Amino acid sequence: MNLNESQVIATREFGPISRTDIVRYQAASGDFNPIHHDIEFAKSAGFDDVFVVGMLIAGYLATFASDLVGVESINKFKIRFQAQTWPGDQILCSAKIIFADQHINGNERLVTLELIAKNQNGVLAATAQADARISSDSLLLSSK
Amino acid sequence: MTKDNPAYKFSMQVDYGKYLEFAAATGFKPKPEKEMPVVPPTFLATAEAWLPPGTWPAGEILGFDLKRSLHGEQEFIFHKPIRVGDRLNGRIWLESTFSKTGSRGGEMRFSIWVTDFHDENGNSVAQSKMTIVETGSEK
Repeated sequence: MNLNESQVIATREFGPISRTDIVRYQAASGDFNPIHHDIEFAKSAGFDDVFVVGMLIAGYLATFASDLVGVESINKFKIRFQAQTWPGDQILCSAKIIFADQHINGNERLVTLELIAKNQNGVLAATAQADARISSDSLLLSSK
Repeated sequence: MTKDNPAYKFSMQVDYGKYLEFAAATGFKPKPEKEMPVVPPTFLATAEAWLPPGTWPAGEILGFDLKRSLHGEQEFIFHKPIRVGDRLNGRIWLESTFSKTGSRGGEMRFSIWVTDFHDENGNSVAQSKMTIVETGSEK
């Protein structure tokens, strides 16, 4: 991996998301909003089915970002949800890596990961950004 | 309600069991407990598990209808890495609220909720910012 490249594209797939995956995330996070697991409740709110917790998509993108630059180096993570995803959806994540021009503290460098998550039909589910400080020899990009 | 007079206060232990559960749910590869691993970037969402069941600030304080509400944006800022073993004190407050006319004509209400996390010495270690949107009642 050549750090002189200004951008690198990496991709990763998650899912297909099962109803069990939704429940597993809700139990782990403590967010028990019934709209994500109780189909009668979801229908009463005007939806055809339960939809995936947005923060599960956020969690996938955060895992993807962590595997790219190292979890310890990320000091900011921000996500904007664009469309709901549904049980059975696959989540296709991609990252663009933008290197700051200047090094800080010797060989440390600021990078920003621009992340997107789409479903299997190409519908944009979320956009996110992760800011990280990495040392020039620590980038963990092993695959594209 | 302000930063100094928060709507909710809570205390949370960053425990290894919750770390493993969260890792399993989000496809994150966990590290051994003895390394006191840094938690993944969205782990602080688990603060919700330390609040009384059903706590939902936008509904309780602003009267947002859960059936019409969506999570619009979420941000986490870390002043230092959060590790398994940390004990954090949290304060949740309403940063702002505003309205817009939605594309279907109804009023959309927005609210931005901040959670400040401090360590046991009172140092600010992280901040979470959540945007909740209530869509218009005209479906």
